[in-house]
Amino acid sequence: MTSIAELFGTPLYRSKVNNYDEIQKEFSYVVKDIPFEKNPYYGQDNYLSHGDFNRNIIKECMLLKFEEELKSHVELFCDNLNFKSRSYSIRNSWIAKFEKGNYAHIHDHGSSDISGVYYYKKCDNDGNIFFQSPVPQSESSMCFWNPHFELSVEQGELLLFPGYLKHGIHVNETEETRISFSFDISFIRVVD
Amino acid sequence: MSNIENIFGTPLYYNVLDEEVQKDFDEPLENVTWEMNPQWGQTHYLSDPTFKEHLFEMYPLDNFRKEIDKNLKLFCKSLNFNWRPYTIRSSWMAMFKKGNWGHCHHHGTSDISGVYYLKKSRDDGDIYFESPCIQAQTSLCFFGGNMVVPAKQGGLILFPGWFKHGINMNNSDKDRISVSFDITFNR
Repeated sequence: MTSIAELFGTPLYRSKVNNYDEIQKEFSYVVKDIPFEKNPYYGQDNYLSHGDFNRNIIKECMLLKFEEELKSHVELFCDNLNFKSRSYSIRNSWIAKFEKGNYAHIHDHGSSDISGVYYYKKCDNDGNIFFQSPVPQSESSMCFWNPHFELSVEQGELLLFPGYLKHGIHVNETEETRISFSFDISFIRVVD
Repeated sequence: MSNIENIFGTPLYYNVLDEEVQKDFDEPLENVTWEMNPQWGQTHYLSDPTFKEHLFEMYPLDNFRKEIDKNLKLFCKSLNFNWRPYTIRSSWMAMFKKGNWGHCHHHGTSDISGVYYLKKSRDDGDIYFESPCIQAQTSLCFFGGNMVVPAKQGGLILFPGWFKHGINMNNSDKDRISVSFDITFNR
């Protein structure tokens, strides 16, 4: 009996937020007051809140509804991973804005345990996220070549993924502005 | 409604081959001189510890060749890889006596590698694969360990040549004999 198994896949969590209206409202207050700047080292790719990733918008702006919602999704994800959930901190969070022609280069989130993105403002053709294989051997393989996985998401959706998983965002080809909230989570390490 | 999708998994093919394949190895098993690779310690026995001998060049192995061809085509179809001519560029037998095991290794530049279980019973050591994602190996919450793949006598496993694997210890009193090979598609 023939069987083909896929071993060691990389888990990607995707969900609509339950408290959509309240969360959108919470974010709307933040978005209107945030100064957006381009990172001069990245070229003309996209706009970031305060121009960098060093702030923690979720904490600074007390986005409590989102934080509470996020907790339940992180717990669900951890259950699925058979990882016993433990305390964590959102160590940084930022907003990214994509006007027509903007994109995001391929990057990872360093030592973050779980990273995520919430789509506050999103429509068709304004730039899908794509992930790059974390297995470099497959990138140079003739028959196991599987370099990118593209995902079409909707406004109000939340993605969670390993911080090490490289990803990028395709060009926004619409006249609409695309706005997303990204964050990095670190679980508490126990130090004896 | 939440959804979790596993992306970028590494494909592994398994099938049980026609019993006639076993007969192909009557002659090779009669003629083989088992030796350990002196540089590996007391791990297991090989038909040629230098890997220079090629079973397919020494013996007809017609049934085995046909079965490899048939299963390789099925595997390639599942990978959406357009079929092309290939070469079985190396092949050898490995024997694991009680207490023997196989260290974790890969098959270098081989496109697809495979193992056929000529003699296999319970507790004589299953093959395991190591996560090909280094980052997962050092992750707190994402699994990056080893996965054991139990197989039975007559079974064939096909996998990427770069996929690291090893063999758990033979804890039985029976010898375990497998045939390994490396495939390269024509460039």
